[in-house]
Amino acid sequence: MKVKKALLKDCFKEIKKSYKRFISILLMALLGVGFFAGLRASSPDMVDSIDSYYKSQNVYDIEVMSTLGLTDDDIQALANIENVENVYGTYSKDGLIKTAEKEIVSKILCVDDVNKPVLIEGNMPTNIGECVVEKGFLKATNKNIGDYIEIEPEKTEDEETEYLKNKNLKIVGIVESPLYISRERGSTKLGTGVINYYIYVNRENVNSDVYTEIYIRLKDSNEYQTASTKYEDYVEETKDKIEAIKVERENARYQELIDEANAEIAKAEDEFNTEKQNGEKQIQDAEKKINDGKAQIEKAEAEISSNETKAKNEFASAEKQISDAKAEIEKNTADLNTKKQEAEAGFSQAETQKTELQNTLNNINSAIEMINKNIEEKQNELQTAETEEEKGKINQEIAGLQVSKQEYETNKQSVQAGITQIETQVTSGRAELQNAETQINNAKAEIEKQEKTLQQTKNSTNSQIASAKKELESSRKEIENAEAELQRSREEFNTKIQEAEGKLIDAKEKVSEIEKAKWYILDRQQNVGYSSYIQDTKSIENISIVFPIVFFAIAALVSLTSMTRMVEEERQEIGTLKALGYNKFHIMLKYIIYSSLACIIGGLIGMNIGFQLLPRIIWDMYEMMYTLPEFIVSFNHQYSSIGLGLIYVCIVGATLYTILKEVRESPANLLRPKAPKYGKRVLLERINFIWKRLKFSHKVTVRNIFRYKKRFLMTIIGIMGCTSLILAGFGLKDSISSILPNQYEDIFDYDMQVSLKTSLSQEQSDKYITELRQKGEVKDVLETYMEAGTARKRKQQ
Amino acid sequence: MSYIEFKNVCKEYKMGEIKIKALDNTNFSIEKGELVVVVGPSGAGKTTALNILGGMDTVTSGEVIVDGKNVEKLKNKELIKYRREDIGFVFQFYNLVQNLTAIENVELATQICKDSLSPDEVMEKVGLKDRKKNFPSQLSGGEQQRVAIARAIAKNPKLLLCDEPTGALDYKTGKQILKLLQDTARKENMTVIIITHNAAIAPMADKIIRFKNGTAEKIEINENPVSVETIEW
Repeated sequence: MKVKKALLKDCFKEIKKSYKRFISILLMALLGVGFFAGLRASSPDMVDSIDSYYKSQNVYDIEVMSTLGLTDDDIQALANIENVENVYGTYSKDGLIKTAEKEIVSKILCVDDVNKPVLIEGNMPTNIGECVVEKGFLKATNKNIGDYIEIEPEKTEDEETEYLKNKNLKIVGIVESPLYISRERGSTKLGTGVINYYIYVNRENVNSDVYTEIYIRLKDSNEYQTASTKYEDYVEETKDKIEAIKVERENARYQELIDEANAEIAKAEDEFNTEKQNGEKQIQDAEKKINDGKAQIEKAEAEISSNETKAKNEFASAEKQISDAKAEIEKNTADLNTKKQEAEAGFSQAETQKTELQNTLNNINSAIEMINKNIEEKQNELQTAETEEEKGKINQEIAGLQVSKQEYETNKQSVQAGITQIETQVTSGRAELQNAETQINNAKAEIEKQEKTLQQTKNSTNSQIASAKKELESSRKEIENAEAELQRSREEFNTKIQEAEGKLIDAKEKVSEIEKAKWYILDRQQNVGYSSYIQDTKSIENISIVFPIVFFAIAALVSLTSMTRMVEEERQEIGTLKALGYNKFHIMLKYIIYSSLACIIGGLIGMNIGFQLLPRIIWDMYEMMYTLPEFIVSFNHQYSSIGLGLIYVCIVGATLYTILKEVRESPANLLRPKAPKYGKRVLLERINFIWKRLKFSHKVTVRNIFRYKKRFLMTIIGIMGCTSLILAGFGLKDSISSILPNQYEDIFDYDMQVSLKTSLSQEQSDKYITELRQKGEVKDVLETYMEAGTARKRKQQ
Repeated sequence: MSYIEFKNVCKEYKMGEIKIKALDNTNFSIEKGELVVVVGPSGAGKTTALNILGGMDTVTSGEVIVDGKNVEKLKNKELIKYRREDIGFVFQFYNLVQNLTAIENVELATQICKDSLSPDEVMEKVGLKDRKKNFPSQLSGGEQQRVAIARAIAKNPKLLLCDEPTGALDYKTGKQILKLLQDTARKENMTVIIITHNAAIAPMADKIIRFKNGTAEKIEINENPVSVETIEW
């Protein structure tokens, strides 16, 4: 239908004229759409923000963890699954950082291509001596970039290798991890049991033969928005596929460990056996040695005793020989003495003969001397003699003297020979005697010597025997010692063997105790920060459904009243137009255009403000809880059109409601001023007793309540709405502020919680608790036992 | 058969629990081109009759025939068309659209009619050539009523219905308005019905219908209508 120009003119003039009303409707639309669109968009904006964050940081879609760690084979197996694009094996461990003031428990992550942390300041760790931390960590430890920290990774008892190659790390940067967007860092066995911060180290720094986690990125997962149903279905589908290979991989890992352990046990067993054999052999050797020693001792004993008897016999025969020899010497001595006497007699005879001969010799010698004197005298006479004949006579006389002398000389010689002979005889006799005596003496000496030697030999032999016996004794003692030693070593060996056997059994038992590997297939929903974030977006979504209803209702009511008033004001004009021949549509058009314009302009402004403002306000509150590098605000066409549509329905609907009622009336009626609502008697009037006492104005008021029911209702609704909003505000404040005392005074009435190590013995913990009780500041101690458990929904049969 | 016939028309209003009979078995007829004056005291049913005639109100019973059409039987759409094309209405309080200028008020009427007259011409005819750009609030009562008449006649209606057109005007202005109406009726040969409680102006009409107690008590035919100027009251 053609729109009449004059009507349009009227419409726009009307807007100009009643701009206050127009603006009030516009503002209602603005508020309604702004709140609706803004609140509704907050949740998608938050999801958008985390979605783009996770996409840009390449955050995992599926995480696989295993109780026994994960291997490259697992990665291979996972990579073969359909839809899986990338599989990343990575490491993480809890660690303790001690600073001057406190002890901080930290999650040690390694920088990888998956779940990339966002660098806020500084550099990423490029070598094993560097690490990056989160901002709060620096604050808590009072450290700065460039400082060093000492970290002690968690260590289980049977772990030998160090998890980190370098534990003294230099802080080189500040990062934000997409894995920890909330303050929640998870729990740990270390320290207070709560992880305070995370740090990232270079992957090279990690020294581990198995991966602690495997992260999986799915093909095309970037096409879906995180937390959307499509995304979750897609992930779930892939999880099911992983579930299918789970058991196989679990068994493989279990088998691997069992095999390893068995191989080690076999090796240990071999070693044990050789050691055992060695030990046994050593013991046998020692036994043999001892036995040999014993035999030797016995042999030595026999030898010694035989030697002793032999020596005794020998000594006896030697003694007998000696005594025999002595007897012979005795006899010889006696013989010699007889012979001596005989020889003495001979000697004295020879002596006599000798003396005789000596005498003779002396005579001869004196004769010779006389001759010699005569010769000398003759020689002297010769010398004096002057005639030859005298000389010849003297010479003849000398010659005669010489012959006599010769004679005497010959005699002398024979006498001398006789003497010599006698002398020789005596001498020889004497020598013979001497000789015999010497012989006897010699024999005696010899015997004595022999006796002495014998004695010596006897002594030495005896001492030898004694020492041999002594030696034997000590050897025997030695043997005894050795035997004792052997006994001891045997015992030792046995206990050792038993121990080793026990250990082997233990090891075997341990092997049997190796629990089957259990895989945990997780997705983002199991990430605490992420899931609470998504939950929060859901609750915002819920609020964003409820909250705008109030605004829409208010908008509808406000526009209803203002449009009603407007229509009422223009009742005559409507009548005139009707009288002029305008149809309902034409007449209504003005009001529809009027309210539509207010609604659309307000709505457009509202959504633009709302989309910018409300998500940011809400994000401002959530920013206290979550760390996201960037909050993305976008113009949401869906919510903007829904919001606008809803407010349009509310406002234009309210307009239509009032105008339709009006245009239905006949022009004649419209042209007449609207008949005032007729007053009615009210129930109260029947109660005369009250009614009588009411003042006139009160009576009017009471009647008006029932006369203008709509107005009355609006007032009630308005007051109701305002009261409930205010009350809701106070109520919220009240209930929130009472949570704390409720929680921490009535429910948790402890001031301090102490976790005891499970390794403590009963006595130790009892002692500790008693000590605690005795402390003056402690009022009461309650012992409890806490254990984490998993509740699963029972599968329906 | 006359151009307009009112046959046994009854009209009842319900005011809450009370029924008011506005018209009680009214009968009259009007010929084409007649200038009719309807007189009677307040509450006699003059306006009700006029509204029914103008298609702005329905009858409880009876027949209303205008130019061969049974108005009371017209459907809503036909009624609108009837109001739009056959009827021109002039009200006691002018009922101009305050947001529109004089000429625009006239256009408001002409824009929905097929055989409408040129608004400018009509404005000239009613003597407001110079004031057509003015808003109603800037015009005097008489001027406003003239605009209202211009709006009514610009539609070139078969029937010009005037409900106390001079009721809010002073004597002189009222006279001018009546003159305008009379002239229009004569010049355009338009059937004009004027309601008034002022019986003095009756001589200007061709037919005088007197209402009393919801019925046309008396219908007089004035053989020699006089010009308005000559009437004094």
